[in-house]
Amino acid sequence: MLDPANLPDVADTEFVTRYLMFSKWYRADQSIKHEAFIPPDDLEFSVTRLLQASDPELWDVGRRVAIESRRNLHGRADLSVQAFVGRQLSVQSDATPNNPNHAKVTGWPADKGRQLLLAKQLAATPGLHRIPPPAVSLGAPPDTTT
Amino acid sequence: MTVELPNAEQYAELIDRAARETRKEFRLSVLGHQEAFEELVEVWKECRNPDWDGYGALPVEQVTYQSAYALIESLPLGFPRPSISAQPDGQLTFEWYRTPTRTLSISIDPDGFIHYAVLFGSETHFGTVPILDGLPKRILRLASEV
Repeated sequence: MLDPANLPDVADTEFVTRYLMFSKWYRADQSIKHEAFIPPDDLEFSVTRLLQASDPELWDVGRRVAIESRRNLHGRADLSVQAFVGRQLSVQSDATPNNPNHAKVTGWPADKGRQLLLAKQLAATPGLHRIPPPAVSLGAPPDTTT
Repeated sequence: MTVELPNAEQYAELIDRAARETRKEFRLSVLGHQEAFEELVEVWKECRNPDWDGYGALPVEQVTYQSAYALIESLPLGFPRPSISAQPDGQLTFEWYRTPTRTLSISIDPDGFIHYAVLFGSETHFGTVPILDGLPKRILRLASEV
């Protein structure tokens, strides 16, 4: 994960992820629905930067959020920062005590119809799909051959 | 022998009861929208408490649920069934979907408005309309073209 004392600005070439905590935010074909990209009322949309984060670290962040909110982690959706910036949104580092890779997407229109269209356009980004969480390993079974 | 005929009030009650039974039968028929009602209830149960998405989502209010229910009831018999979900801002959504770039979504807010956005390839539409008596004809037409 990123060093909290030395956080680089978010570059357009980076990727960020959005955790999916609701089964109705993706379809059976694993494509992502627009609801995953609707900002909250404060118009600060949370994402996690993939920069310098290993896959297990990224899933740990998602699982922690899920446990704190008593939800199931259904997966994540990875998206380029360019997808947001290309739609006049901006992405800024917004590290939290538990997640130095946390970032926020700002610049959303206040108009709900425009938000809906923007979210649908983001969800239609080519190649975007649900990445399911890895199965949790319960460890190797005990060796009973000896 | 004298036969006592129902009076006007009793006739009205009989007709009303028959009409309600007919509406119920239609709703439960293959032409109706029973699956949509069931999905609406499922979403409502999952999203009626705060933070249902792990990102601080607003709860879906009962008035929003009631509006969504009435909108499903108002759909013409045999009309394509929308999939139902919820947004972090507490709005319920209906989606008609063919591909990520051929799709229409509406979101229903607690103040009696419908927001909509359409992607038909590079063609886009969006807007906000008040909930009056079912979905506006324009939205129904667009949904039927998805």
